[in-house]
Amino acid sequence: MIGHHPYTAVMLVPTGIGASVGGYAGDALPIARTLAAAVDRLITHPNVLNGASAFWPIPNALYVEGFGLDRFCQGNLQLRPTRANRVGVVFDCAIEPDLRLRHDHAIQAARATLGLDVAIAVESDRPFGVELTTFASGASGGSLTAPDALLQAAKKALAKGAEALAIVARFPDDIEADDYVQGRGVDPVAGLEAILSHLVAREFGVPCAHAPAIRLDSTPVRVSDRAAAEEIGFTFLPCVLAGLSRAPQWIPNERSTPADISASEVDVAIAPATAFGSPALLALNDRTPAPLFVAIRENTSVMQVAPEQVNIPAIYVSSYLEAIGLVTAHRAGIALDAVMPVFP
Amino acid sequence: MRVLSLDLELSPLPTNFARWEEAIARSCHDIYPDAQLLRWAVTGIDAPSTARVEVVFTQLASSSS
Repeated sequence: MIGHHPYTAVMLVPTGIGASVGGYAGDALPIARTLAAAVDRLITHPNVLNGASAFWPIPNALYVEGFGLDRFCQGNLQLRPTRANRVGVVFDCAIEPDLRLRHDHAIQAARATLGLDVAIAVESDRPFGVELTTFASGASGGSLTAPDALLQAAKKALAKGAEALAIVARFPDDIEADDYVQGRGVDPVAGLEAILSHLVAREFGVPCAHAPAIRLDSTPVRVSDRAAAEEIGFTFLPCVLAGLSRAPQWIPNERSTPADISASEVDVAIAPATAFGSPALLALNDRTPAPLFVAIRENTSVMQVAPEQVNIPAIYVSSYLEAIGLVTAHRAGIALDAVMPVFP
Repeated sequence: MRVLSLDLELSPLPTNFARWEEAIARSCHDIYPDAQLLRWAVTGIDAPSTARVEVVFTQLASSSS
């Protein structure tokens, strides 16, 4: 819908599905930067914007964790942009002292070099107990044997004044990631990362995101460009701290003001063409009027849900660049039939 | 509490978001009565009208399936 509000796009690349664009180390970030240049507001999630030590602050992008994004699209909460959040870091006590020190360095650098308010760090009293799994689809997932340990530590960080939470869980070092680092297949840890942040988000309703603590190989190997951002540092925490520092606050509808952003202001939703089984997209499709849906054919994944299979009336385009052209026309109020090629 | 994952099949296909979430929650509850949904996605549709769904949920550790 073209309205009087700022033109707002939602860009989704679900986490842990082997998306050919956005399934690796922040490799959808160039697309997000380009899309952001064509809209007033871009709402997207950490999987799109995080690149470990590499990140790029996009002034009009709103960094919203997946659980919050789903609830936003359902109309259950609104987004309130902030100038800055006080970020708390919740550490899994399974992280060894030397690896923890690497993360402390990332926090120190965020404070001294980026000027971020990261003053709170809390360690869990028990390991989170992460276990990596794979769904039948091939998407990555996982389980937690001690989610209470994570929630208790998160609660302490919030009690100390944190307004957003970075979660750092100790992940196994022996993860099979040979294909992933070569830019193929599914990120084996991404699904569990989403589970960790969803758990905290569901419980506390605050901006959050996860960075895994993994001991990287001491001998570097050649990797794909798409995975390289995770090879240039000792932690994946910098992008999370940067993202959370300006993440919008999640406002329940009953406490919202007209200045907050609601799902009814979403003009366009863009997602991989076979990943339309996302709760966020299904929920947006129930809105009246629904936003324009754009399905990107080039972004393949292990998901197999086309828009029409779930009754979402999307426009297919071959590439993100084509989608951005479509968005530009939509924003300008130009009839899309007038700018789309017609194939008899 | 613990966090668990399941692959499910749903039929017939729900017609809107609320019905999707309700059907997925009901399927989880059939196996784990105290399950609370955390994350889900429809991963595929098989003809004529069966959905493949992956779901992550929390469950009180003291209860059993």
